[in-house]
Amino acid sequence: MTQFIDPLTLARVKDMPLVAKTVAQGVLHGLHTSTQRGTGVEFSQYRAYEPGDPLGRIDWKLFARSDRYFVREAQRESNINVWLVLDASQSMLQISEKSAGQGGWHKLDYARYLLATIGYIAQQQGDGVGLVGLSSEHIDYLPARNGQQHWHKLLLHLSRVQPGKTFPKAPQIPDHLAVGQMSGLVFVVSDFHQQNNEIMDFVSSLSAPQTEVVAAQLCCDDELNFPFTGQVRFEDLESGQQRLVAAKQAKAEYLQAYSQFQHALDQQFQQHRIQCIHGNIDQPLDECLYHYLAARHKVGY
Amino acid sequence: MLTMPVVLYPTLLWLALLTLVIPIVIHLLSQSRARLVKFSLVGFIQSAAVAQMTQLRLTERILLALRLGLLLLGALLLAHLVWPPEAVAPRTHVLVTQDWLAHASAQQKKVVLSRLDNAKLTYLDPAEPFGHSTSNARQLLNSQGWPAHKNTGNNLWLGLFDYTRELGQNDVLSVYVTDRLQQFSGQRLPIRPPLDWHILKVPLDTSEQLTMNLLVIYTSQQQNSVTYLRGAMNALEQQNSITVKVTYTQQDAVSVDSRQLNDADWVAYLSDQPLDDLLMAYVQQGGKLLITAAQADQSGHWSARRPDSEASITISQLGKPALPHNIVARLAQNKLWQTLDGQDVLKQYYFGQGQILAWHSRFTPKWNSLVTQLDFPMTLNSLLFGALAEQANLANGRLSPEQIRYTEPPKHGVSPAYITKSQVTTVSPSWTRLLLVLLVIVFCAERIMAQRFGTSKKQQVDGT
Repeated sequence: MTQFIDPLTLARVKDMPLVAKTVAQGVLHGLHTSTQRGTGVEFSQYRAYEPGDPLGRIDWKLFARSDRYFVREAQRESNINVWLVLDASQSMLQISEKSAGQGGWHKLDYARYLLATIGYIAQQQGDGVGLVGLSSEHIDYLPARNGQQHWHKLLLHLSRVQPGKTFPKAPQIPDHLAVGQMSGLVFVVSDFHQQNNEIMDFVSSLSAPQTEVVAAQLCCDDELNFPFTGQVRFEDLESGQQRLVAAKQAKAEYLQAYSQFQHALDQQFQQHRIQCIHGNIDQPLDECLYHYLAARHKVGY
Repeated sequence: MLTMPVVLYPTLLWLALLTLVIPIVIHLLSQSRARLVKFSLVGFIQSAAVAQMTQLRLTERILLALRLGLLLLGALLLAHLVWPPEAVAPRTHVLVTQDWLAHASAQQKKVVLSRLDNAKLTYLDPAEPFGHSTSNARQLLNSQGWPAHKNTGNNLWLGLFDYTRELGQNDVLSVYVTDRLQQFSGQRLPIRPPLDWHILKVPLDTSEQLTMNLLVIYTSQQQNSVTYLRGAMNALEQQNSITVKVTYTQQDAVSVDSRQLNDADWVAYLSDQPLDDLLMAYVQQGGKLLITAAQADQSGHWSARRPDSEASITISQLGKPALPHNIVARLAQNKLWQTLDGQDVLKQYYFGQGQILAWHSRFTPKWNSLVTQLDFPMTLNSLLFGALAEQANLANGRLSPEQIRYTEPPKHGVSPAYITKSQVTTVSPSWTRLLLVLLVIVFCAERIMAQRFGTSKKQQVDGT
């Protein structure tokens, strides 16, 4: 089994490209990093004929000159764009109390590194990568391109995404993000903590025949286990609403409500045929990614 | 009027109030302070748990308040919280006497009237020693023709003392008096200072020379006595202080008429004839009569001591004056002079409004040695005109403002502050009792609250 990297360790590495590369290389361990070749317009190289190659791909002119069989190869051309959509609402600043004490990541940081890694993988594969950061205050948009330089630009944008207050409501979202405009693979990272189902509406609206939407739902240990004791004053990250409770008494009901919420969310994803991956920010980043990629391989991407 | 409560020992109160910090500190420390956790799923936390927590919080605060109240009440008890006796706003009292009203000018009365806007005018009644009455100020001050104060023996101190006893602590008392002595006879009482004295100086009335009229009625048998009496009166007339007008009437020659009697201050009756009804009637209406012995009843050698001086006189003959026995026996009498063996020499009878001096002898050396003594005129003077002269002195006597204003220092060396404190302490038990009852109630409430929301529940909520 692959040795995953502790998220706290990654959190101490402030270099985002390094983290992304490290994680990606860990996940894609053993895969060739060379460009994939195949049929296409853009010439890449000749290679010696091997039995089984279609005869139509043999370069006969070269055979005439050199009396040897060569197969003409072109650079593989990809028209898939990977769109990285980041929910930059205030609730994404959620962090486990335990990791907060040790300078760990909150959900937004985790999402940045996750997206950086996915972006890296996509860039390595030659896919175009675009970025959309969504918050009620500000919307970041980086069009999908490929190439190393663009990836660095993407990282810069990712690190500059500022958390706004809430997730933008439908009228606030610009037209170029609307239905069908983003073809390819859309990767949405959010906690799916929504007030009026606005995130789900947005995500489901992305879903189209040419578009595959993958939702990554981030959670943390505190949300899953509710480990609080004593009197706790909870303050909502988005609304600022406060509730003073004895944590032990509130725990059972909270867990029940949380599982209900989770269940309803999963049902909605299924309903809209959206693949959902669950990321726990207190678990290794590469583990989450590995499970995702492993699952995709199973389905035969 | 609502007054603020007063604390007798403020330093003690502040020290005791410091203890209030203790429960607050304990509350702040013991309370497992609620941590603030930023959480994105607050909506999933049920309001039931919130309500329970709120109730616990409320209970804790009530308990804290009760404990603070407990300490506060204790502190107040320690520091002797009292309500001072109702502090009356200082009032100005203006007191006027009849004599002042009689002598003050219209201008002076106007000044007093101008002060009466927020003051109370009181008229010190000269008729009774404690008399004072509040009357319509304007009417009192504007009415004319107040008679000057005539009565003697009026003690203004008594009236003032009586009045000041009813006053509040801060009241200002303005007293308008004249400086005439006759208002101030009697004992001086300690009157609460400060009094604002307004003393009107009444000039001495020099025109009123004291004149005494003496009517001497005699018979020829007593010509000798008259001679000595005349000599004594002549000697008295040498003195300036008193003028004695003596009229001599021989009973045998002229009958006495009532007009003569009315003019006389004194009547000397030197006769062996019995006293006639006219003279008795004169005495009854306020006249004064000196009567000598009618005839010698006993002769011998007596010595009589005079109470007014060390000297004594020798008496060789005694005789009863010719007074009507049936009347005299019933009269109140005053034995002035007696011989050593108890025989009456000079007796005083009160008859009606007048008096009779009965001299059981005569004014001749044959009867006694008084007439030969050098101070015989003075003795006669003091016997006959002493009271009148004293009255005249009182009427003309003046006190200096210093004498009127003089206040005695407090006798027991007790400071006024101490007096008020002790007075206040005597008022306090009711408040002490109230505070004690409150203390017990608050204590019981605290116990009940603490038991009902005991530590088990708190632990359950805290989950520690």
